[in-house]
Amino acid sequence: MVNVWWRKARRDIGRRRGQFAAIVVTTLLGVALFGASFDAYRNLVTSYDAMFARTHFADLTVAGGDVAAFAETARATPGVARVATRTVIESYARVGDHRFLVRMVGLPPDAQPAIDQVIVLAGRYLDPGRLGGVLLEQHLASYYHLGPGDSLKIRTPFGWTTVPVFGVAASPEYLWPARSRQDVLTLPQDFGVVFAADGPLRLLAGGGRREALVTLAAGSDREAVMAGLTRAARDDGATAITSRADQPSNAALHEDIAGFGEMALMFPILFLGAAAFTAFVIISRLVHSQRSLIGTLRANGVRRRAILLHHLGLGVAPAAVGGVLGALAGEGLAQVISRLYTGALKIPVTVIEPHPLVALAGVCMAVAAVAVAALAPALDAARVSPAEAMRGVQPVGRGGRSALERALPFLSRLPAAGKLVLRGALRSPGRSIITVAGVVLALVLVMVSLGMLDTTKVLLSQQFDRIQREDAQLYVAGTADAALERRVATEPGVAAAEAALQTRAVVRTASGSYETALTAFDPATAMHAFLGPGGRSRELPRQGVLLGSALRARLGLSVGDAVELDLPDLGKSLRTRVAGFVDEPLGTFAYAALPLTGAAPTSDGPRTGPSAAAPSPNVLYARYAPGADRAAVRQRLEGIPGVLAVIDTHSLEAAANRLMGLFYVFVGAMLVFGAALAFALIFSTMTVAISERAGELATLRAAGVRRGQLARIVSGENLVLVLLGLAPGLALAYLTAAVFMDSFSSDMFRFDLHVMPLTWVVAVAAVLLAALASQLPALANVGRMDLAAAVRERGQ
Amino acid sequence: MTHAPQDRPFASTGALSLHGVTKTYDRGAVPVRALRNVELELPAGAFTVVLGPSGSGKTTLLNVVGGIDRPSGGQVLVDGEDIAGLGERALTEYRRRTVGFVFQLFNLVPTLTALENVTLIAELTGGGGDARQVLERVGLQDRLDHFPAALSGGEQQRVAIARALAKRPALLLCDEPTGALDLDTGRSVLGLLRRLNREQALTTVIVTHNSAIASMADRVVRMRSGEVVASEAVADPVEAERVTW
Repeated sequence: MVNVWWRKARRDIGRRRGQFAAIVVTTLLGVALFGASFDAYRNLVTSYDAMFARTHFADLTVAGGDVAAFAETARATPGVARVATRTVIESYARVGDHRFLVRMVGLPPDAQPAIDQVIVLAGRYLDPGRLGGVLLEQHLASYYHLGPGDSLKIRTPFGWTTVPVFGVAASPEYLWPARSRQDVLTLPQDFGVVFAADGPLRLLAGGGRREALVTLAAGSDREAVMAGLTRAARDDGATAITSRADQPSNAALHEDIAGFGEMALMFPILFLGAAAFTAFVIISRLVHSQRSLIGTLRANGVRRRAILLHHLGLGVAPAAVGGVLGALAGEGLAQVISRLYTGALKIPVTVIEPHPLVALAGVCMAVAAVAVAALAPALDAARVSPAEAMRGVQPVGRGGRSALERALPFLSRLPAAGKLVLRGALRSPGRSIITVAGVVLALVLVMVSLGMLDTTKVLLSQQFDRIQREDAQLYVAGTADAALERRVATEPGVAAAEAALQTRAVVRTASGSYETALTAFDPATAMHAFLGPGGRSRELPRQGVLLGSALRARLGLSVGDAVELDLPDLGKSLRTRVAGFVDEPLGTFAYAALPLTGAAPTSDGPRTGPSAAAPSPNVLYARYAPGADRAAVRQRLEGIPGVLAVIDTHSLEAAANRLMGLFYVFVGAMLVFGAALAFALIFSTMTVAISERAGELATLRAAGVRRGQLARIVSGENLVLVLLGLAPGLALAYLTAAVFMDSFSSDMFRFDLHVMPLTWVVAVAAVLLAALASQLPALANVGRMDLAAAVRERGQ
Repeated sequence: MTHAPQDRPFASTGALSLHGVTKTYDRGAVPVRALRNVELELPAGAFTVVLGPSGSGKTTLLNVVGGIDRPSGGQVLVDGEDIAGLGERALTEYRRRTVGFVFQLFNLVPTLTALENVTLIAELTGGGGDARQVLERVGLQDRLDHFPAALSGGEQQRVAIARALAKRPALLLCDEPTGALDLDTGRSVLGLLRRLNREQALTTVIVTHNSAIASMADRVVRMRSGEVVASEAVADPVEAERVTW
């Protein structure tokens, strides 16, 4: 009996192999993408953790105040494993004619530090006998093609000093070479990191800061220890307290890989949902068409349980096949993705581990999803009474005007073929819902990916076309005074120049603090736009400060609230009010008008601020003339005495746009998956619908209705369902995309969903094309139908 | 209201001639010879019953004459035109302009009313028939807006007949038209077919295993094992109401 059941199952599946193949394909895709995303996520997290463990990545970094006193306190705190201190200096470097910002991080010259060690990738570690040499962080070395034995110039109080390169290193702090949380998208041509002997760095006066680093002991109460250390740091006057999670590089990387975690959730829902729907449709139809057979079996004493298990097995078997294949594919894909990712980011420690439990979970999810879906028709089969053996198969649908016709009476004037299309589309409500669901799921997948693409493009445009109106930022030695401003403004290729003040700032309120950067512009600045909620442009207020909108929630701030701005590099602290919030895609900054900080505008207007002893502008913003040769202008500006480095704002934009190329690949893949999902579902429902109407359709063919006419009728029914799914699908897709994008928003990036008009069209077109393609096999079957047999057989 | 042949869209009379017609199905190891060298002449306007037990080839004969299956050999002449060698498209056109089918299981579209089922064929084949008139002719003037589920078996078969007639065909081919009906309903359907045959000079072929129906035919063709074993005219066909089984 078991053998015969199995043979029947094989033949039932074989006769409908296209439909059951749809179950296999959707479960395969769902499990493969789940496994790939989840395993890649796990591999990357493990790789980072391995890197951090190997290098003793700091759990806490404290800067400013009495660092030595804090370090002593930390050493005495239970739960603390290691404590170290170091010097960090912001300066400028030169390679050939090119100048850029450089951060010099102090290391003990004779041995690796206790915390935040580096991995030497080429050359050797620092030399205690040659304290002037440096290690280059790998991104800097790679961009400028520098290695052991090369040299570069670094700006010191003694001028441009040539320093030898001992080696190239990777650091856990700069796996993503972010300058700060506000400058996460920093290019190596504009900013680099070098590691130098800490002692000599401390001797370089001005511009530097001391930092204390702490790692916690394994098994300690991390939350309690961190809270205590934070309090101690504040008591010691710290200006910046950064946990590992908030460390810019680490935070950026985790935001990035969080996407894999999101996808590991989204893909199985979409694809396994589709597999479940498909299984429900196919097995329901099979049960319906075999009711008299099932009744015969029951009349002959076959138990309900055997019938239930048989029909459940029809769904579980293809799901298991797809699940196993998907698990294997997912494992392979995860390895590829992990290697590509760590290679692209130059992460020196790559851990790729098999995750058999993830594979098993994927297979179980696939089988469970389809089993749940197959349960209803299987129970229906088990409940068929023996009397069914006497009856023929009843046609699906009792007939009646469609809901659309009842809602729109003018539809009653449609020709009979039109009514056939409308009513045929809706004759099986369950199947219609599933077809519509397929359209909705496909649209969600497509819109989420296209929405990500549009959002990124719009935000880049907003950031670099609307908000940042300068073409270059010039870092100068000393003050950006009026003379220098005029000199820059009159340089060929420069249309305008303005002085501004850029400085580190800590925004403090009663509920917390946030380290950011303050930029103070001339009140009438033309170099920066301030966009409030809804993208409306506003003036820079003469009083108060504008803050990035992320601080509204982060610090519980509202317009008018009092805040304290610590400016550690200026040795000042200001009490002021929140004048408003700005929505900027990149970073969470503070903006004020130059009189607020006491720095007078360098225009010839009347001074309204405090005396000339107040902090002076230290940066010049330049806008190029239309059509100017950017590279040539940059070179000329770098040659101006007093200009230490020129950062081209649009080089970052260009680099971001180049990265979009990878994004297009991702979006292309999502479009294919979305189309495959729609194809699988609509193919199944369409094939089932045609098979149950074989007699009806064959009769029309026998009556002389042409293949093309029949194809148009059948396609029309399909199209009605797809169109019904478009509106709810687009709405749900938009909402899902908005939630998905918002999950990536933080103080570093703001991802408000933007969807271009063309994207709606592309999404709809992709799904329509998939729907049209999915019906081709079924239409081909209509054309190949054995009319003689079909007109005499009841529905299959 | 009657339709003469010249009123039909394609001016066909429905005269049938089969010469040496064979049909073999390749099903696994043993080929099935469903028709063996069939020779048959059916004059235009005749009401013919094809009788035979299950497997005699009568249905295959109907399929071949109706153009929904191609013979393996021989000639099938309809008004002198050999349809045996026609391609798929040509056969579709042949069925469109010449043939009306009535099947045992009615095969109505369940989501369309009686009127819409008939109108559908008229629209799609350009037959030009008035669906309401045709339905009145078959006695369903009061059931136009009913869906098949709300019609009795006999009424459904009448709709199927009306649907076949809507194209004004020359040939009406019926496969066990009373097979799913009780005696009284079956008689009324047969009576309708007979009346239409007379009114429209509609060549009508009914395939059945029910020998009682033979008595109402103009000609009876008997088949066995794929061969025509007899083809004889009926001297005094009886009216449908007197047929019993």
